[in-house]
Amino acid sequence: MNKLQILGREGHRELVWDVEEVKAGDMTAAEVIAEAESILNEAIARGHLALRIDAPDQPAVRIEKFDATAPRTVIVPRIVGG
Amino acid sequence: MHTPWWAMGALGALILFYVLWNNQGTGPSTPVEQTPKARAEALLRDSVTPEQYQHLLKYGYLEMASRLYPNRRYHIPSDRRRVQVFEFCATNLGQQPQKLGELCVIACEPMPDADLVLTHKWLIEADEAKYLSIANWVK
Repeated sequence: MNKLQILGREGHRELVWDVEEVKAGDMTAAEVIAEAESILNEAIARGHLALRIDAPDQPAVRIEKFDATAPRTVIVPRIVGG
Repeated sequence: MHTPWWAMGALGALILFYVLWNNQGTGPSTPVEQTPKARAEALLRDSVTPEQYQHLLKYGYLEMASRLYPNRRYHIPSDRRRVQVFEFCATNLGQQPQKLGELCVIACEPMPDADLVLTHKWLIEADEAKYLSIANWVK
């Protein structure tokens, strides 16, 4: 399963899909992926940061473009110096 | 006429099965843990190694090695305190930590504490130089 997790005020919310289902022609999964891509692009445009997370022991990687095959994609709010 | 107890049990099992089944598969998921704080804690637990999580519970901070500076370590507190920066220096007593300062960084949107820990961790991993350039150093 692949996930988009969006961190925010109410804790994270997430979208989940399976790329194998898309390959098998599942339209619902394709719609979820399209929605995830739209959310990610909008978030990046608003200055949020998008990261690819492969595993807990692997470093996060900043991304600018959606990849539906990534195990986890995370959107975090913009940060500033305090 | 009363509904038999076994029929009530079967109905309950069916409802439970339906709820659990709907939490699987594609689409927006409904987390089992409902409060933002509980969801954030679960996300943190799943996003670090078991050793890192145990360290966080025991000492109150997540320790991260710098990828830019060989002897530097960051301590990300589990609450909203500032990230602390340490450098390990060779002394007569072996490697000793020396505190370089604290980093003041805030998220533009309020978040549960555990999500904030992950935000610091991921941003330091993904682009440490940028994170340091954004942070205000407090000596």
